Amino acid sequence: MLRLPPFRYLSPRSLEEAVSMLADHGPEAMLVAGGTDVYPKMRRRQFEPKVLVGLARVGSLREVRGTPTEGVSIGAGVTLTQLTRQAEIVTGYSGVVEGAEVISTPQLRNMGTIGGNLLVDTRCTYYDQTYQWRKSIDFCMKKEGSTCWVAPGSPRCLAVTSTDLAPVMMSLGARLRFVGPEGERVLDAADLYREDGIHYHTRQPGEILAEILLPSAEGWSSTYRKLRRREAFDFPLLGVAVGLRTGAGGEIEDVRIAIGGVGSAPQLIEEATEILCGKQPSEELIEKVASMAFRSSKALDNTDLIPIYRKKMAPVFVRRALRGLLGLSP
Amino acid sequence: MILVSFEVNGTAVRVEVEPQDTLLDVLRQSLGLLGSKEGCAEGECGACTVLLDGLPVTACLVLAAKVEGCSVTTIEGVASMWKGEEGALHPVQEAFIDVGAVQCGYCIPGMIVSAVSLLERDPSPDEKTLRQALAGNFCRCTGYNKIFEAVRRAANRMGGDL
Amino acid sequence: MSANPPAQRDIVRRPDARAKVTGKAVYAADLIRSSMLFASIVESPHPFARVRHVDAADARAMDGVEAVLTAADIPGRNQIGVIQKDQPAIVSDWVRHPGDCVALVAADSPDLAHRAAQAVRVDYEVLEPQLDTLKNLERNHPLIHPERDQRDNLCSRHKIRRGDMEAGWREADVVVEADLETGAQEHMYLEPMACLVTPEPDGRLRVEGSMQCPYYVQAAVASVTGLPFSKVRVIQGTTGGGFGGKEDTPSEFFSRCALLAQAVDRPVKLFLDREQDVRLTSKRHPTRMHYRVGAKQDGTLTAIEARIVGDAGAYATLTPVVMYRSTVHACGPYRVPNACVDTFGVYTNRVPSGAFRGFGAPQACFGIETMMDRVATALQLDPCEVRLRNALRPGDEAVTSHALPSCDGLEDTIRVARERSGWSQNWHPPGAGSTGRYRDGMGMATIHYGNSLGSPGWYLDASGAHLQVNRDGSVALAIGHTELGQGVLTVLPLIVAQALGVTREHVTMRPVDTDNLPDCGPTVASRATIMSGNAILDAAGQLLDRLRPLGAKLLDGEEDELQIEEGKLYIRSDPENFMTWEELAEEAFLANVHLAAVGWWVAPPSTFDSETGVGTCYFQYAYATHVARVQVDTWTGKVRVEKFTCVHDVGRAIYPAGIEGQVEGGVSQGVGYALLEDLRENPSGHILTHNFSTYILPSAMEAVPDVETVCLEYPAPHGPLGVRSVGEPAIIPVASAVACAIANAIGLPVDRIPCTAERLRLAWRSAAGEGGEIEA
Repeated sequence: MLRLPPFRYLSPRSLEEAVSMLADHGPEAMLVAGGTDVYPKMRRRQFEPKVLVGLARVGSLREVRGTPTEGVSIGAGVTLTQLTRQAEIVTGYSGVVEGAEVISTPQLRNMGTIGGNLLVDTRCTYYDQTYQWRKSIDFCMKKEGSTCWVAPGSPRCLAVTSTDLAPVMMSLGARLRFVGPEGERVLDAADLYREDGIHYHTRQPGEILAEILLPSAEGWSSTYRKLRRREAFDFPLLGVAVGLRTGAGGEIEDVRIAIGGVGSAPQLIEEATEILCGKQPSEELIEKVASMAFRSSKALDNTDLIPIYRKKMAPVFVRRALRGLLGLSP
Repeated sequence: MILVSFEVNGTAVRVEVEPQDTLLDVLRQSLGLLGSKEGCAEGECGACTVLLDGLPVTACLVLAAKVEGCSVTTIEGVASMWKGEEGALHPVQEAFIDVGAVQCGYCIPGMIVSAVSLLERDPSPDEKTLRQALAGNFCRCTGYNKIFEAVRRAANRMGGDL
Repeated sequence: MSANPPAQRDIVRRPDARAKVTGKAVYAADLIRSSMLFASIVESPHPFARVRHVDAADARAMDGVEAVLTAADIPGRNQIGVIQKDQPAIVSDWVRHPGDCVALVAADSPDLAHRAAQAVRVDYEVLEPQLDTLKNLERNHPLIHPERDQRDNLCSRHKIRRGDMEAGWREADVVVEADLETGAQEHMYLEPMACLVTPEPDGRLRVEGSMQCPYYVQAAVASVTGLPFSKVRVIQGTTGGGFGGKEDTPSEFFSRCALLAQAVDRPVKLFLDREQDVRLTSKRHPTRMHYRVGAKQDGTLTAIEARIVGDAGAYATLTPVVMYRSTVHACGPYRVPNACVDTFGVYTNRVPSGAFRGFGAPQACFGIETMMDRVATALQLDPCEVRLRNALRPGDEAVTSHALPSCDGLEDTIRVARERSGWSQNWHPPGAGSTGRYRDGMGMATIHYGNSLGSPGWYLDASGAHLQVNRDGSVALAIGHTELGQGVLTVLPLIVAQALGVTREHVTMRPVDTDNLPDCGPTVASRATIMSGNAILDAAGQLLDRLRPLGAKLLDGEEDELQIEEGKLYIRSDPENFMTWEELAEEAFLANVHLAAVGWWVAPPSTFDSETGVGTCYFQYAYATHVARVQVDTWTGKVRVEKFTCVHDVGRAIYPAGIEGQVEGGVSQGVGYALLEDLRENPSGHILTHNFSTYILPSAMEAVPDVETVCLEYPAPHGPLGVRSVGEPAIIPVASAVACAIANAIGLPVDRIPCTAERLRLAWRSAAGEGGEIEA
């Protein structure tokens, strides 16, 4: 394997310092947290930063504050392993735990962070290859080339969203706090993502994801279901996250269903919320929502498992997730 | 060049590294600790698994410059984690030998580091926990059955049952 | 016959295990020499192209680049093909697969070597890649090897003609027919290919590395460097898995590394990274098959027609012998009165297919064994009964019109597998088990396996062993076969111990080194224990002929009353009055007894007629039956393999834990082959799945929870102490048993492996009918 290409590694101690380092180096700089996706991509020359701004020593990024009742804020540098063990999260947000514990492997969860996962690069069969391989097909649109090999007529890159935690955060109605040269901004998790394999998020170049703000878990339950070939290692080929709040009479007060791993951005199935809210759950309603998941899954032939299969799995996974949360037989 | 000080297998070391050097590069090339193997260099095979401040990580994805002040345990240091007799192996190592869990051996250093870490955290893991703890280490020879058997045997021995 | 339950046996500790669990074992990548350079390969980006011009000027001018070699720089013969001479070390005219080697670089760091390789400019005339084996078989198709005399892309051709096919079809009450397909499989040994070549002061080249076949490497290095074999010394390093992947491919890479070392007169190291290793090294042959099988009402086979087309890839490498094995095994271990088998190896613009554990047999097994189940289904019979009805018994002619030597164990493997797996209680007719989301199924596969190289490889089917008794009684053993993880280092000292009457602690193995012994052939075809073991018996016999008279004299007894065992010798009538092996060795030394011997064993010849397929084919066979129990999730198409029962006639179990290790590993690789391992490529034939995250091999989570290994011991006619092969038999039936179990669970035959979740579910849904509903 090629060694990593040369770069300067900067190790800021505070968010402010990190922001100013990013500003100083402009487009030559790149942020790195756990590095589990960045370093392999640098070896393959998919990323070629001259400067890496490492966030490992920014202590504030590793804090978890609050309670499930009032809401919890998670520093973006909290590792995936820590997420699965942190009491505040385990007790209130099972979707987060279920989402984090199915990412990659134990070793990579010890390194990888929640922020890194939320912003992880989109993937594609034609892009996640060595430099030499990509060169042999004259590169692709996402890096150095002009054609999208998945659909050669496509005007945009079709690389697929591969974060497990994004749909979870969307299903929980989480908000994200960014810090940048212009100050802070907070946006809904759903607003971070764009349906474009290259420009797949709306983070501004100088910004750093500082915190994930989970709303109160009072009355909510949540879950995450992931389609993959193996029970380890694999990126999501489909991910379904559901957040659900039921009333005293068993009626659905609020629900959010988000799908990841198909298309370039994770997406909320907003119609599902409209259909289910205020209703008593029924087989019929669940089936209706499941069929929506089928329609809104835009799987393409750019990762493992054929697209029609992934599309057909979407209703299966939505049904299972909903039934699980509603305590119905699977 | 960056001067990095950290602890490897209980011994303090100071090495000069380039920013792009990984911990695996430094262990193998600067420190002569060749037990950690490179099977993919992208964090996927687990053959370079070491403990970084007690947690298993793939050394090929850790920048050497980042381990300043950290404690690293490699396969070469596993035996001394167990308070056995001088020169004795760790019970996990013994068990791998006893049940025939070793074939080609290339995955074994990483596998043992993952297994030792598991038993430090959970001395009597159930089947699912055991599998999950080793889910980041590929083995192509054994089908994993004898590796599971070895870890169970080591758990028993460390618990004093055997 | 006896079974060996684990609890009743002694622990045998592998002599190589301690170094491996402590991280001290030295693999090729761990070898370091001062002034060592690093090799890089200039790879063709195109699957098929004509090389117009190679311009290495920029690369040569780079500081730290010590050599850039093209085909014109090869001092010897630019040829490394192991069977057919169709493969250059560095191409001069045509590139025939992505990654074909156009030039070589040596530089003082791996990164620089890589950059220099990128700086070599090659002008190509790009041609349309030819990737479809069936089309490539057609006449007037573009030729991948236009330099050959042949005007087609046929790489190998074998056939069997037996009996009268017309009569066979007439006698049949039922005829089943199917088109079947098997995918490529990547070895994914954990240690990527690596070697170090050091020019020695005496003008020799010392080649160390990770390999199965040092003598193949020696021949390839000698060919390209122009050196005599005696100046090429090949030493095997600790090898991190092979599975056939390090059979012939090391010859390619090590000979290229040797060319560089020779050119610069410095040590040169070559190691492939994972993605390169997947891109540039051999695969299991993907096949397309057509089977037609006739049977009587009671399941008796009347005729089998089989056509197997294997993708050879760009160069022949081992295709002719892989397809030979597919041919011989195409009809399974059954009585087939009428048969017509045709197999074809076809060139394509893919990386060469080569050796992979099973060597053409797993594909043929998938063909015949899934057809046996189709026969059973058509006749509403139990597939186990159908196998028993047709299984070869002693004296029966196999499809190649010869009786298999000592096949008494075959039927027994089926019977014991039936009993141990609970077949009679748990098997149900196809699709007639549990209903609802999860469906349970059981599948069986039975195999025979021709041990060692068989008729086409007989010319190199001989091996030696060198035994040396030191004056302190310790024994040094040298053989020509390599430890790859399969346990040679453990088994062979046990044979030495038994043959000489010492303990295995007396025996130490020397590293495999071509300086030790003449060519012992390759470490392949599950032959190491048989070949080296027999050579050890020969050497031990020579030593005992010299030592026993002395022992008898020292004990004051008759030689034929002398017993030597466990390191002690005594006269049978007086076991209390013994002498130690160490004392005997010292006495022998003082008496100038010749304390070293070279043993040599030649495999009995076997035959194969190229027109009719009549022949003995292999000198002996191993037999096995596997039963798989699976659960199919019909919602997702995912298959969970719950249990494997593996019954092997191993002849004699010398190292039972080693056999279990082979079987459990074989099951895992076979389950991967059956369900997960899908080597994908883009339309121009570039592999898309190069690494552990995209090429899906079983992780610890996918381990089969319950693998039961049962050893039957019907002594083989030629194996030392009665041993039969086990390494490859362990994987051959696995994918077929899984496929049969899936078919049994869902009531639909499986016609393609890998039977991935999406393929299974789509097939299930299209058979069950979507019926307007989105989900079951």
